[in-house]
Amino acid sequence: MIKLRPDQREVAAYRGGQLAVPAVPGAGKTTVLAHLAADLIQEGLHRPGKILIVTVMNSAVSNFARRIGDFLKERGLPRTAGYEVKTLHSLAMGILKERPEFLMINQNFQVIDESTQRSLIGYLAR
Amino acid sequence: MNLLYSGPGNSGKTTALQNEYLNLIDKGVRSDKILVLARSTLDVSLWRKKLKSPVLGRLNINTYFGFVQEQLTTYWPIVEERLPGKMRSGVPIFMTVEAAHYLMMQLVEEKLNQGGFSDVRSTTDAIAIQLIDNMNLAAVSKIPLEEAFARLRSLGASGDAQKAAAFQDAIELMKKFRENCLQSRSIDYSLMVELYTNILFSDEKYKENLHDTYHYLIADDIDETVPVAQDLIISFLKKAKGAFLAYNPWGGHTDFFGAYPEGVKQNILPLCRVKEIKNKNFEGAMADFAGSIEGILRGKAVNVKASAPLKGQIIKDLRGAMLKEVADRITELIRSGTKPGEIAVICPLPDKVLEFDLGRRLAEREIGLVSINRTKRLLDQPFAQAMVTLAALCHGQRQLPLNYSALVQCMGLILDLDPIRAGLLADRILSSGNNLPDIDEEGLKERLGFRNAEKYRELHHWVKSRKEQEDVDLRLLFQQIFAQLLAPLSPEEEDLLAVRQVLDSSAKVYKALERYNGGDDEKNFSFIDLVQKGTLAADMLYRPLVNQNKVILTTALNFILNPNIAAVDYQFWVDVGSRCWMRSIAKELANPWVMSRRWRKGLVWNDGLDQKIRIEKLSRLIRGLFCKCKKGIFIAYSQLSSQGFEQDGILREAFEGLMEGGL
Repeated sequence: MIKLRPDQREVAAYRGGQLAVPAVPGAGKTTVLAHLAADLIQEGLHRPGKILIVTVMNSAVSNFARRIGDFLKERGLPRTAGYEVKTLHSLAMGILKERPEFLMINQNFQVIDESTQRSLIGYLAR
Repeated sequence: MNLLYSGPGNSGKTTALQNEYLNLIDKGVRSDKILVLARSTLDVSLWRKKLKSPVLGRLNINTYFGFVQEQLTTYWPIVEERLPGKMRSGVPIFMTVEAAHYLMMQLVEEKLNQGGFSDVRSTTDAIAIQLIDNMNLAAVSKIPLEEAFARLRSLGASGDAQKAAAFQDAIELMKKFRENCLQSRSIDYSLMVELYTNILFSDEKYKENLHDTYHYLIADDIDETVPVAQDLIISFLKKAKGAFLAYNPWGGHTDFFGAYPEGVKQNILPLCRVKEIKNKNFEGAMADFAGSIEGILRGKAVNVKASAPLKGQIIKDLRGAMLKEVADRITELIRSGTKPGEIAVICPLPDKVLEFDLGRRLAEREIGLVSINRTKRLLDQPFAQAMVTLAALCHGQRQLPLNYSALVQCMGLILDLDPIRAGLLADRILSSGNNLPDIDEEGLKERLGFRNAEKYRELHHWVKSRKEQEDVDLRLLFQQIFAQLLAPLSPEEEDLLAVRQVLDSSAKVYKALERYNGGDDEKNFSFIDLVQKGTLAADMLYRPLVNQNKVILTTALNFILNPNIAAVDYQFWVDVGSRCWMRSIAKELANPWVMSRRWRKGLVWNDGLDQKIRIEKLSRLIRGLFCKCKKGIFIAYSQLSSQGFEQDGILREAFEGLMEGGL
């Protein structure tokens, strides 16, 4: 079981409201937030929903998910239950897929990648 | 005497009804005095098969819609008297769904070119299908078109001005389509139902005659019936000598087609003596387990009594790992004595990638997989593809767009060319404006190979002679293509099914377009246009044989509703994390819930209502799956779907909750 520093313990103990944690790279933000998420899940405070963790990059998603999974495993809980880690884009995609018809978008929409985007623009510009 | 058999899926209700039919015959009732209404054409075929030999005499077995069409044809003069305008010929033409779809697509394209539907991000054919659906749903719920339009306007009012404008465009096209159909007496599905309901069925003399003709009614799967079909059933309950019905209290899966099980509860059950039938598979642990999942989905605390029906969980990050383990588990089951045909792989939506991947893995283990999904694209079938491509090549007056891959495949099939040579030939054809180049053209003989040159010469001559003809009849052309070019290639059963589908569809579409457009030459090749644009005609209702002793792959809904699929020992629910297990019924320009008798003025379609309906549907689906499961299920999950989307749906969470012992 990881040993948290005093300032990290303060974050890990937080249970309500909005908390901002400014810290330099390497200070242990991901670790403490993963620890906090695992605690919340263990205490069942996430129910009836889940905990949403939003990051900027895909690499951070795997990192977070792995750490939370490890903390949950230490607590004898399933690695993947009770939370979701997403990038902002993935979250936006998820929300859009939930009710695309509200924005008059067909449910079978696809997100095009950059090369398709470039080739479409090139076609339109002709 | 009105008797209703009530029971879950696979409890033997249809067998009970068939026995009632035979009892009536034994008592001396003539078969032509009994009307049987079954849910689908598949069910009708099975009923006929079962009753054909014990019963001599005419079998009146139909779907509700087949029955309505028959009645309209018989009583058309009465209907015609009450319609505006004059008719050109004596009989109506009933449009197939493909023809209706195609004609609506033309209207949608015209509107798009005028700047309509500006904020709708959808394909032309998706918009067309939804407009047709709106009209169909209104008709089967007996909602007058003006009321239907008002409901659509209220949906449009929930957004900004562009959304309201899009719904207004939709209403305009639906009105235009209906006017054209009435004027030309080309009867699409919605008009057919309206004419029957508002003219024939409201006529007391007609009803008297109906009940004189049929003394008994037998109706199966009434939980899947639409309101107007229920009105017909109620009429029989009140006036016939007897009626026998089958009802699944947890059915009603086809609400997107207008099914209204609430109507059965409110209006039909009180008129019947109810006999409960049980499903022996769906008792005890199986029913408890299904109930637990349902409870968790609805957010209730459940006391999980047993998870014995859950035989295994395959939870992997990577899709390949998941599919490998699914294949391994299937292999283990078969090696320990389970027949392949007793294993079903259930997915939320048709998934060709899954079909290919799993099929390949099982084939490596010498296990067959048969995909029994409702549709397969016509253009994926080589013989059908070749017919359409060759017909496009033979069109002299207009250059129809040709797909490179289709051309390669066609040339490869007809001339027995390898893909390289077929590709070279396809390039030449496309660069010559869809004309087959002369064999003596520079380098062509060498490219094709001397062995193939003669075959090519004959094909060239064949196509050229048809191109030079005026007024080529597409139906005749298709027949010639099959008889002279494809039949010599020794087609297999699937090829013949595809060819027949092309011939049937094109003939029906031709008739409908001829009536609707009135003497327009373009109708001749509109079928090709229709197929190439990917309309419904591009789908082929291919029904592979079920009893092949292969592992079955199908969607959850098809597994439940397909009467050819019996209960199996084990089910593998693949992609349990997919959101597609719980898709909304609402679309950009259509909403089956709003366009039903459930809708009340002042109600607002919102997230809460949407989620409630989705969970209800998923609960019914789960129950339906368990009703056709004898021993247990496996669930399988990977982080990403075949299409690369994250799988974070609620069903997987429900199983996680179950494993944690409920909430």
